Amino acid sequence: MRTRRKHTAAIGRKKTPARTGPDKHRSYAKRPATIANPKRQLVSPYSSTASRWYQEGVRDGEGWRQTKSTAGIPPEEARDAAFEAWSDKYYGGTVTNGIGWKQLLGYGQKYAAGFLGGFADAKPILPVPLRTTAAAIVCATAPLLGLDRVLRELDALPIRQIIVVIYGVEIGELPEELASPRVLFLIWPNVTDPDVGRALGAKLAAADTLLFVDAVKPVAAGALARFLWECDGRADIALNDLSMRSIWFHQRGGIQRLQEFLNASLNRPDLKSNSLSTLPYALSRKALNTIGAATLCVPAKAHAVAIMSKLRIVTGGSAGSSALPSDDRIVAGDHAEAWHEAIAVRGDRLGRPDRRRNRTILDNPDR
Amino acid sequence: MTYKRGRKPARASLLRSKGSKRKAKFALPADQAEVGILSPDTQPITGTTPYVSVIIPVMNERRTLRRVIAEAFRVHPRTEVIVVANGSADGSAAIARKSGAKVLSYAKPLGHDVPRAVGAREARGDVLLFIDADMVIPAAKLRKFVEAVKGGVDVALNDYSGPVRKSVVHGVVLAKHALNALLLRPDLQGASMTAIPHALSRKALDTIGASPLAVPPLAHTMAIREGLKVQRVVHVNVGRLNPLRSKRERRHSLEPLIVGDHLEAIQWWLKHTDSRGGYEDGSRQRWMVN
Repeated sequence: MRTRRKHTAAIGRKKTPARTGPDKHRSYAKRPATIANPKRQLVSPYSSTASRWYQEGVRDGEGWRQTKSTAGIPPEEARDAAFEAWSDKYYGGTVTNGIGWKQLLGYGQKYAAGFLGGFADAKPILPVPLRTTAAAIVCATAPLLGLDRVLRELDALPIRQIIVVIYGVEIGELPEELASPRVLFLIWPNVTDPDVGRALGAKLAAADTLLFVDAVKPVAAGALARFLWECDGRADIALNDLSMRSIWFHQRGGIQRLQEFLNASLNRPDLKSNSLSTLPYALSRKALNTIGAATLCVPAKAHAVAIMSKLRIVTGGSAGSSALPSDDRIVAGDHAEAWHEAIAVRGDRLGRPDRRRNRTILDNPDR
Repeated sequence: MTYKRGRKPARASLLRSKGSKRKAKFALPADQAEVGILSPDTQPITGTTPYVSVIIPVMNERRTLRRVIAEAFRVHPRTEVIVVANGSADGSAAIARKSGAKVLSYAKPLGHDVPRAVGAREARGDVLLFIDADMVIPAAKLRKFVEAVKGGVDVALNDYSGPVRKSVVHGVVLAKHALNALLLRPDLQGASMTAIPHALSRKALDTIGASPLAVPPLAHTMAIREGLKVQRVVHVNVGRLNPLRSKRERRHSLEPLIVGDHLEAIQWWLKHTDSRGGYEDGSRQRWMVN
């Protein structure tokens, strides 16, 4: 009871500034922006900095359009130009240093809205300053419910290629709303396992950062943005931080306990129960090359290999609780493989030698 | 097979003792005198097969030892108490001998849990009960473990999972839970042979062997692998009963050793199954990615 009270007190201390005006009931930046819900904005439209970025976007958009001779510029090209312009702004030092992550996203959103304002059929986008290219991998099976919303979120991000692996089903014709110039559908009716599908997708992806997302439950573009950002030269692997989902140990299930103990036994207790077995996550090209696409078939093993290869592993924020692995036998087997690999690399007892026991006395039956 | 005759009266005496615990210590039913038990405080006459062997590792624990042995003898009318004194310099071995226990003495410390294996080798009972010398657990509680084994359980565990109402638990607590999850025994929660008290059937000892008892998570894993009946029996809060250990824990942590024991157990499991611990791969076609 005491802990609970303490917890609420901590929340209570965090004062949010009082809002007035027509949208006093709306909250900004509390939850990541979804493209499906464009009304939810990251920064207040009344913020002067935000409107300054919007104006700058309008100016830059105009300028970019004038460099193009023809009138009919494809919206795709304008979209890419907006992403590039925002990245140049950030890495050119124009965006104020020291602003928070959500402000950075929010100002980017405003800038892009201004930039693309002159294009009638431009979809809303969420720029993330990136120096490398990114691809997304989605592994889906029938029924493809939720996939359109998943793709809509991905489509708003500076992702060059979206690989959708459709496994386990024969699909005659794909629904039209899924079509996009960036989406590449790979249909493998004879693949029956999503981890294998993801590994195949990873093998085919041609980008520096690979973002793996769930096909059923959409994660907001604003949340996914962080994973891309972390793997853009900062870290090699960005994991979904689910440690706050079940705060208390006794509420966690067997799978989370296996994940937590795998991390602890590999001397990474700071990773808590976060693992490559949970979507979404992002890998750098270096991480994929080190782990190997084939190892991604067994996520827990890939996770152990990543830790042992000294790849930089961070959390890319808490991006909801999309499908956790559910089959206990398969997850237990995957973790068994992870420890099998770990013991092969780090030796017996994973570097925790038993120096205290007199084991010779045990081998000698007559004391 | 004299003990077979003794079984029924023994159970009757156990039932009686539930109502009047203290009486049971002094007043013995007539049928027990018949099979040759004199008094729980006296060493049983040689030649009588004990039903319960209580194994107690001792290392300078004279403060509590006498009471621990007294409780151990009250577990069953035919009980032998085996004290494995190792590295003891405070006269605990003498105390144990005086209290009627069979004493195995070693000048040097044998190391964590090794005395359990050494003691188990000497045990003659049908049920082996493992306790510690620094923690007085009432005989009534200990009896539950013996009764569970009598009722068909092979490994009767303390239903103790450690402090789990936390966000970050102790490394050993995590290891115990994770090992049970890996062995697909989530029902055991954090119960493990790492914690005392626990009781083994003779069958369990014959199947596992005595030596693995020195590495309790290994013995625990072997028992489950061999299909023995492993169950949680009753909750004995060994965390609360033993405040002394937290002091030692601060000085010299046993955590890496015991976490290592769990990894040794996993390693054994992998060696005796396959790289997946014997769990099938579902329908993965890994060859497609190679």
